[in-house]
Amino acid sequence: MCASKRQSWAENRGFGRRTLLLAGLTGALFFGARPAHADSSEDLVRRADRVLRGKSSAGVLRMDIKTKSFSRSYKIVTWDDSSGATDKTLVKILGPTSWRGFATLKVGSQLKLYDPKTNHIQSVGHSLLGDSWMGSHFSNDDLVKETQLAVHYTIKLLDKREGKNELGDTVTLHRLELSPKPTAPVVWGRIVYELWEKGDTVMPVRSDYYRKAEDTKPARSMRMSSVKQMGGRLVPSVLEVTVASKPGERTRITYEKLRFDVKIPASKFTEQALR
Amino acid sequence: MLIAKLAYRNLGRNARRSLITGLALALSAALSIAYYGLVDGMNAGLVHSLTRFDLGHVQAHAPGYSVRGVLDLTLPEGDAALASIRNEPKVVSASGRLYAPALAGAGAHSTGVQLIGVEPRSERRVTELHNQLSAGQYLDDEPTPWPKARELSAEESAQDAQLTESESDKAAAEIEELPELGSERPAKPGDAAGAPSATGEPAALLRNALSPRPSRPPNVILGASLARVLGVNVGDELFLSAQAKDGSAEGIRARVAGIFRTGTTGYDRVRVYLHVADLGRLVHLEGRFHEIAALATSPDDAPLVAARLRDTLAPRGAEVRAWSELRPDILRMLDLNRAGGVLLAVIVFIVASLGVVNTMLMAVLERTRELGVLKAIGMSSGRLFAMIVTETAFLAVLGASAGTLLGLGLDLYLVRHGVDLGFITQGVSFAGVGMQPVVYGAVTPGGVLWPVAILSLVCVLASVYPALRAARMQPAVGMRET
Repeated sequence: MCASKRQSWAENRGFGRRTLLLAGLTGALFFGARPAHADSSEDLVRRADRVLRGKSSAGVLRMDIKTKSFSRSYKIVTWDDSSGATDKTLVKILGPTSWRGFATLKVGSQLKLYDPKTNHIQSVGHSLLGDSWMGSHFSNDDLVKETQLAVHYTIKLLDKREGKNELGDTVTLHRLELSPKPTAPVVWGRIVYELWEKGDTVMPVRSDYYRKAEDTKPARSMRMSSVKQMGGRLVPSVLEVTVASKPGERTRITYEKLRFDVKIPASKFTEQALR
Repeated sequence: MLIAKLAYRNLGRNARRSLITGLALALSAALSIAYYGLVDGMNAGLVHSLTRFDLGHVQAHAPGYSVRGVLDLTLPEGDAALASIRNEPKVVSASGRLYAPALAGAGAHSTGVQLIGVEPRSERRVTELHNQLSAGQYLDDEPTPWPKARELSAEESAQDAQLTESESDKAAAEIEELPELGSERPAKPGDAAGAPSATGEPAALLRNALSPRPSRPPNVILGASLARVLGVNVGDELFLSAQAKDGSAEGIRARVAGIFRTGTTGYDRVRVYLHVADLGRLVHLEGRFHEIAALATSPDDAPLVAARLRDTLAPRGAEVRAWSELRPDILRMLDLNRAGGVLLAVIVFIVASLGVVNTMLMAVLERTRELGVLKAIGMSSGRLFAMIVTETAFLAVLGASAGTLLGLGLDLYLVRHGVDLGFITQGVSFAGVGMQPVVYGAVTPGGVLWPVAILSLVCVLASVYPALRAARMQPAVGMRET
């Protein structure tokens, strides 16, 4: 009947931050990029935003997806290298059977999917970026796109108080409001960002993404928890994403192994490595 | 009676003038009738394109499917619903369909497509896709031999979990081995390239149980524009990957059996047809339908058939609608086309009626003396008025009769031979419905009666002014004229 009955994954579109699997997430753009003269809210967001980023990173993680129609867990290995001219990412599913061997390769803005069942590599065109990544609450777009919060948003402090973090330590809790700068290529009208600060450590806790600035309910939320020492850093080892339009559903990422700033051979990011 | 006689004789007075005016009326009637026939024919062609290329006359869906169109909204009782629809007296044939969005790839090209699973045997009797192949052939009646998937046994599940663990340990070890950025030690490319994780023997066995491969690539037929985008031809291989019901990604290689060209860009660019059983296997919806399309004895019977099927199927969880309810936009367009035909006829007749006004006015002015005499010997103004109107009515009836005959002749020619509008309609579609290159006429009672009725009315109105002039004449003044 209709020309397109594509399942609508529009809700997954444009999550904006490459928080995904991409553990390390790229970046490092800000390592030493700006001295501490910036105002402190902006500095806090910048530091929280790069907790999970490195010049390169590699990790093993579990992704648990719960939707109305299914629940499933993937074991995933990710490799991410943004130390060179182009950002490169390889994500590979290690199990279970139905998904074992599925791989996603991102080089620059090019996205390729490998399907072991057909032994075929498919380039993901523009029209498919909004589709869900392997049934999760992330879209292909989330893999490709990257937003630097401190670059694309202006930051305002909403609330600052003493409190306890999940480890029971007394910390300073900050609630910040991020509004997109007029020319920023972002989809969110407003982000509310929560983080805690203790001494030199800044840790993101939660971010709520509002479609429009005046919305009272976030369209998406991400919670970061289970702070742990991994790969020589203190990081939140569990990320959980919920979508307002799909109550009761969530995608949770649990890092099991994570290393930052490692030398990853270039052969990792080739079509041969996909297979 | 006297008036009719007088009126008739008056027409004969200047036979040439009456003939020319009558001819003008006849021609305008004939052209209107022919044009109306063409509009009706075009409308019928549009309904035909709409219903016979895809929609059918009546469709059944799971409630909400037409709005959301998600994969798991299948008809609750696929085969049973199909059987009840086929048993309905005015249903000629019915066919079940399954839809799934997919990614199609060939070589370096890939694009989003719509997979449509059909039962070739019954689909052939509902739609005419099999007549629109530009290359190759239609789908086989039998589905591709394809082993059924099965669940993993407890033992296999344990083995699966173990495989995942060992893969994950291997990956973790590999990561542990990586040198720090900036350290002297080089990364070992040999190691890091890693052994292919998904191709081990046990892994392949497990995978084959959960999603077995068909014994050969299933046949598909696809639109000409899509074939061009993907760069494939009949006999070539194609990769299809779709999301299955449980959200898993299922991919297969398929073989291009045929290429169709419907003329509707939306179809030719995105549609890939395959056997409904093959698609059911691929997306784990074996034996299910998203849609049942039925063909009634005629498009006009569709609302009735839909209403009756609604009574039987609605309690069983199916939504039944006629084509006119599925595409109200097309229905409105048909009405608009008809209204356009009427409007054109009115314009043509108004122009023709100016000729009538002229003729009758001439007739009245020419006969001023005679009319004065008639009035003087006692003919009332009313009767004089009636005489002129009757004169015009005679002219109109004669013109309309001749025009109807001529118009029917033109209609019959259009019905038989049609008009080739291919140079205009090439690739044109109305609201997603493709136009056929040759437009045939259609003869309907309305298509003949409407022009004749409008013509007569316009003529009578046109005679009012000359008739009034005649009626208002002073007998003495009239008689003084020479």
